[in-house]
Amino acid sequence: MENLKQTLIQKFNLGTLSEAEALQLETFFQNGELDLEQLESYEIFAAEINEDAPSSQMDENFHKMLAEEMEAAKPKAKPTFGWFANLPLGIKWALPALLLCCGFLLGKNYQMSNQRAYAITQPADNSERANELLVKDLNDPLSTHNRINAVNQITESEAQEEQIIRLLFLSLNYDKSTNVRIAAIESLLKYADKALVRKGLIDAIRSQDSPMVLQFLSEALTIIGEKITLEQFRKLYNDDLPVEVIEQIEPNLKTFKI
Amino acid sequence: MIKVREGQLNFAGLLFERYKKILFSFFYNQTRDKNLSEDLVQITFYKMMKYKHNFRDDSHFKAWIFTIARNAMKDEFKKRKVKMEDIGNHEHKFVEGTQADTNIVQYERSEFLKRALKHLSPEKRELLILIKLNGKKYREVAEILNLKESVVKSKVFRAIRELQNHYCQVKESF
Repeated sequence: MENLKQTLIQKFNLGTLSEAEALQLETFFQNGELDLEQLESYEIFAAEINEDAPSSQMDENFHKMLAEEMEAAKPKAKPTFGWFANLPLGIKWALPALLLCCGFLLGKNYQMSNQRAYAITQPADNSERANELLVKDLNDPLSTHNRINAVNQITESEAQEEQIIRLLFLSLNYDKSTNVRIAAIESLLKYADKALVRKGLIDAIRSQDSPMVLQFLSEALTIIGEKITLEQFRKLYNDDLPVEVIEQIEPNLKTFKI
Repeated sequence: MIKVREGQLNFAGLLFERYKKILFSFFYNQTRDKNLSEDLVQITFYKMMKYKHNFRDDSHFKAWIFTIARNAMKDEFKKRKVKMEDIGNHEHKFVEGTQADTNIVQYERSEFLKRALKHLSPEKRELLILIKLNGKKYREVAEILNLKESVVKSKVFRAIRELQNHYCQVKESF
């Protein structure tokens, strides 16, 4: 039996195994009588598998993300009403009723005196506040997720188109996160009919040093029909762009036939 | 993971320490792109926290995280419009120049293997990588791929046989 197995392994390694012999060897393997290491190609394959450790930057990014998640998950402090529990039962019932009545009267009075002004200002206040929050999120230095969400949501805000486009280009050209820049490209595609945006996307090439962002930019330019040759694209690179990044990006650019 | 699901997010740090290397290797050996592989590990752990409530008590964490990892990679390539088949065409720089100079036989074997690997489908390459990274624990790989252990063994044998045949052909052509 051992001889048969050795013969089969030898034939396997030479690539001369017949179908019947292959089935026989597979049975040995299924039964645990044959180890993969005995097969030449697996042995070479296994030896070549890279098990290097990732960089410390990955650890930093993860711990930053974890800190953000933990911060977001923190329960908000709730006001305590310990003094309320010590009040006599009658007062416990009377106090909320009194507060309710006061609230109602004050509200009614306020509504009557400000009805007209309130109706005009409320929607504007709300949208302005929403815009303020979006801008605040766009500039949130700690949370990449907040900035990505803001970039995704800003196109649906009621801010002026020019303002939205300006903010998106700021994110595309200056944000430290690759993912935020990519999200900005996706959002800017919604305004691709504007010459200003098309030109801005071309100009943005110079501000990039990430292969992924450059690849997304090239793809976006293809989608909006901006025909730029590879040579033109090369001229637009940032002068300080490392050669390794260029080598990494160019095969992909060809894929998009720019 | 159960603790993470219940809101003790600091335990996610432990899971990261335990699984970051194997996940990075899983991505790197398929993409040969260090930055992309690190991004994919980050995405995997982000999704782990986002979908923590989907983790069931009877789930095996390793199988669960690898399912997220495999989907993350597929999504990433779909997003970048790169075919999974093209991943294998990345250069497999297994042997560094200095090693190649000192060990020509090993260099040749690596070169032959690199060419043979190009003929293997992405699914088969992924399977062999999973087997190697999981220390040939077929049951664990079966859980990751949601297959029976016997089916995994069968697929592994056939993938290795196919690789061996391509390897022999490449060797003969030199």
